[in-house]
Amino acid sequence: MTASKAETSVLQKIFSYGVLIVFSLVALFPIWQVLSISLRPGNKLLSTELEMIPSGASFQSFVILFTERDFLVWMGNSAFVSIAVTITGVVFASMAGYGFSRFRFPGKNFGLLSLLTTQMFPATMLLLPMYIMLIKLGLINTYLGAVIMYSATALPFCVWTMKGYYDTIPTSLEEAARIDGCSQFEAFYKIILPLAAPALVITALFSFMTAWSEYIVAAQILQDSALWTLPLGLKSFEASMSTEWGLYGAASIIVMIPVVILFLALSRWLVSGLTLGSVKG
Amino acid sequence: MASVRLENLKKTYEGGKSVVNGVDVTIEDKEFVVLVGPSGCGKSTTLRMIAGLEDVTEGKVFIDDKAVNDLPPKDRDIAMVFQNYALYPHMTVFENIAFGLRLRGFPKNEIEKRVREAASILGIEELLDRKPKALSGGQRQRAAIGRAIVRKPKVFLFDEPLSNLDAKLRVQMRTEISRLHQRLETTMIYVTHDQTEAMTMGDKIVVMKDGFAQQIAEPLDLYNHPKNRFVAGFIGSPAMNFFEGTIAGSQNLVFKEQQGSFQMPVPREGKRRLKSYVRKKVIMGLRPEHIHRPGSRLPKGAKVAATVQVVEPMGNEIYTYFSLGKEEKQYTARFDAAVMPIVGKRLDVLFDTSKAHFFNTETEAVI
Repeated sequence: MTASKAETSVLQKIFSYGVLIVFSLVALFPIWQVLSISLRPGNKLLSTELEMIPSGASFQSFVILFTERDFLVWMGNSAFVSIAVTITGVVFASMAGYGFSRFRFPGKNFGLLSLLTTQMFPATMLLLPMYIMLIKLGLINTYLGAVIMYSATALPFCVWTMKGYYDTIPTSLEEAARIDGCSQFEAFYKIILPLAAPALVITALFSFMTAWSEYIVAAQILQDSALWTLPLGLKSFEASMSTEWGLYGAASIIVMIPVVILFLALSRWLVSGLTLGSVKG
Repeated sequence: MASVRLENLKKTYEGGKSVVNGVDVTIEDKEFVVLVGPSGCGKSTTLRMIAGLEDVTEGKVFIDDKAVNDLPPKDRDIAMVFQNYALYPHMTVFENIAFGLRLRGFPKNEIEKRVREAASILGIEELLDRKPKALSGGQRQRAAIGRAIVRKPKVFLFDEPLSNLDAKLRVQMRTEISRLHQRLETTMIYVTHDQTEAMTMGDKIVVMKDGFAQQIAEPLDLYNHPKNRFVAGFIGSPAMNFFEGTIAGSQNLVFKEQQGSFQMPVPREGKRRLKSYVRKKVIMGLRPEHIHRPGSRLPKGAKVAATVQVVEPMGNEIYTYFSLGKEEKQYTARFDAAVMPIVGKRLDVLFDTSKAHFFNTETEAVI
């Protein structure tokens, strides 16, 4: 009986690892392809060979990207817009989520449902009304316009995430803090906010990514090439007759790096369970 | 040190749900008062109103003769220990205990001194560098108590602090809190649903039901002289037995059980009060320890034929559950552990009539 159990366990492990390996390959293949394209010499861009590292590989595309194109400008623009959206998302969602989680007020349920409803519409559907609104506000071709647009699309999800997380933090912690000497707001930022770190990280990542790799909204608002963010810059490699695939690949790899670093740096906060031990359990 | 006074305290939630319906209690300086009652009786809400965590709908809360209704919790000079400990998980035990002192701007060396002192009282000196998740239930509760005592507040509030602990630890912590009260000599208000905790810890007990204080008295007074059927049934374990019946007779009054299972003389001291109840229904209450084995020498015993249904040997005594006649209702007796009653057999038990309590069937008030 023990032997058959051990056999089942080994088979289960083989199966689990098998499935994980297949899915990992499916996920990694496109990245490897892009990397491979970015390293190919100009005459081999459309090659169908499956070499890990193409023959004649060079960093020429990367060098061109930084020396002959405005890549650093686009990157700076993207970073500026994304960081602004991240800060807006974290500040507003952390406070709005707390309000929705802890207080009773008229229109609370309506507000929550309205936020949810906005998520039902595809972003492209909101493009026209938002565009008209931004024209009237004189915010087309400004970073502020892009930040408002991205924040408006990211905030509903962020508020719900924060609210959901606050709901899991016992109110007795704030009550204890208020008795210890905190005001309601002090109890929020000294006790509850540090405990909500995992949700704040998710909110920050989501807000950042909403802006970092977004193209359609950016294409409508940021028309001046000096304001272009990375996706708009990448699009400029596409010409009517030919596309600079080497540069495209190299840029894609570099665009990916900050997000990967961000994920790795914040991964420890993503593991929730910080409240473990605070209350009965 | 302070007294606490509640004047006609009421709490009604949105939607008109009344939880506390007018509580008047005076808690003297250095007194240990227990608010006890079943779930939903309003005891925790009352405590939270004293703490300032709930708004008062009507009435007044006084701490040291000063109305504190409009003061935020931090300005009431109180400390509270919660049922679920409510320790800040991102702080060490030291930081948890020191948190209130830091907020109040105490100097560093004073904080250090006070935290060490509190930890030494509670025996948690070695745990000061640990985070709450690395503590056991009992240690967490000690840390929570440490956080309360370190500020030396006027009033301590305990909201069912032992409910999450196992039975053995609960008994141990019960003694420790009582000892702490003797040592600190501070006013303490303690909420529990456990009547044993109430009886063993309180100088005074407030028994609550449906948002009203049913009776406020010292533990033994409450046990021996309950004001109504609820208090009589709630205080005491196992609970008091209740028998419905009528009062009969003219000179020598007797209580006749309504199914005719038994009748017993009314104790002399109750006769005057029960005279107006002749031929009327009443409820007779008798505690399990006032029902004795056959053969016991009782000057005022009434012999009642019972059938043993369930027997629970507790070691030093035996809880015997029995029925009368063809009734399905069960009653309880506490016998010494000398002889084990046999389940299903008839047993002539003796009711100590001198210990009987009588209640009005409609108002349930004691007669």
